[in-house]
Amino acid sequence: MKRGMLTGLLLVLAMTLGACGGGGVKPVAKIGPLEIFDPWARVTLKEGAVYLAIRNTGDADDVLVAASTDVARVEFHTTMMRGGQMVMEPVQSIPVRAGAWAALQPGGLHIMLIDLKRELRPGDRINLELRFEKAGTVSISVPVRALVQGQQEGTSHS
Amino acid sequence: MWRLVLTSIALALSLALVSCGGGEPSSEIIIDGTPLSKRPFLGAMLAEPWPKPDFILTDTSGRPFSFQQETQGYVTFLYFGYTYCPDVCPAHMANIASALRKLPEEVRGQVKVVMVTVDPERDTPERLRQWLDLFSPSFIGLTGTLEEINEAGRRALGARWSPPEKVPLKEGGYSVNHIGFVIAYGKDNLARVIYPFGVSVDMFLHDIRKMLEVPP
Repeated sequence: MKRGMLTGLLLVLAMTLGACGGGGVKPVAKIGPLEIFDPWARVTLKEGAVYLAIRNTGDADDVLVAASTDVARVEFHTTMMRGGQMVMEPVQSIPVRAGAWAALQPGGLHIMLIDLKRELRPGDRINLELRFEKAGTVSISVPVRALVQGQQEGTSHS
Repeated sequence: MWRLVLTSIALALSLALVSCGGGEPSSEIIIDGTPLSKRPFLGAMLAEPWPKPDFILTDTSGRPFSFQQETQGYVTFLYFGYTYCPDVCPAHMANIASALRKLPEEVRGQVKVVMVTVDPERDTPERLRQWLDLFSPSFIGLTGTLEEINEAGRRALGARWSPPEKVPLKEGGYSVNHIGFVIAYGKDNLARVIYPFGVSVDMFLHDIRKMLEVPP
């Protein structure tokens, strides 16, 4: 119930922000009725996360059942608050309902990158394959974003 | 705790609405009985201030770091996190670092950011340093034995401290469940506000200015 409320609030927030933005955002990939928007990964050393949004423009529900990349192991996780702790829980699959959005974002659902073979630096890109139950498999290129606003892309402190 | 999260989201939402402009202004936004315009801080306000804890852990150069002594006279952010944390820890650290970058050097110099690892097994001092440098070379990383870290946590949070819990991943490795909020101590060594996940860069920026009495 609480999770439902939180998700609801986040969606309202996302829509509010979306409404400000002028609606010029284009999907980076399409597969069947599904559109993938704004994928990004955070700069990191060994474990990381990919975030993105999926829109289902069709009239049948679909499910994101797997993701893979050549740079890391991948699991779907969601972050939540439980008993005062931030807790990450594995998620088997991510539903993308007909006519709706699925949002993977910081502090919620994310594609966890485990045991990365190389550091992810600003300006890097990784290839990610997403497999949907009905729509099939789509490959996307995910940019790695600087962690700190104002940090120059392509520079690193390490 | 849930109220804190919801409050933050409500705040973020109201900020988002405000920044949108357009539309008719509605009545004053009230959060926890206080009008938004009269809230001193945008983080989650504590009913009673928490004192700054006294503990000694090891910093990223391997030297003992006395938290109370070394942060005396600074606005201090204290966070318990870990470098293998893929989601919330880097987001928190990045937001604080982004807020600090928007402030002049002399203001930034009055703020210390300290992360105590909840994963001392993997977070060596070298690794902590390397990871914190992704955000800012000025961020301080502390480690110790798990017992020392739990003791520091208890001193900071009392009964609210919950020891980090390792959760295995499917094919090896683990994540760590841990306290998710950032505590902010003023120059008077009292914390009046904490930051659950979901606090934005602008909210941190607003509160840092308030704590240092820097005009926006």
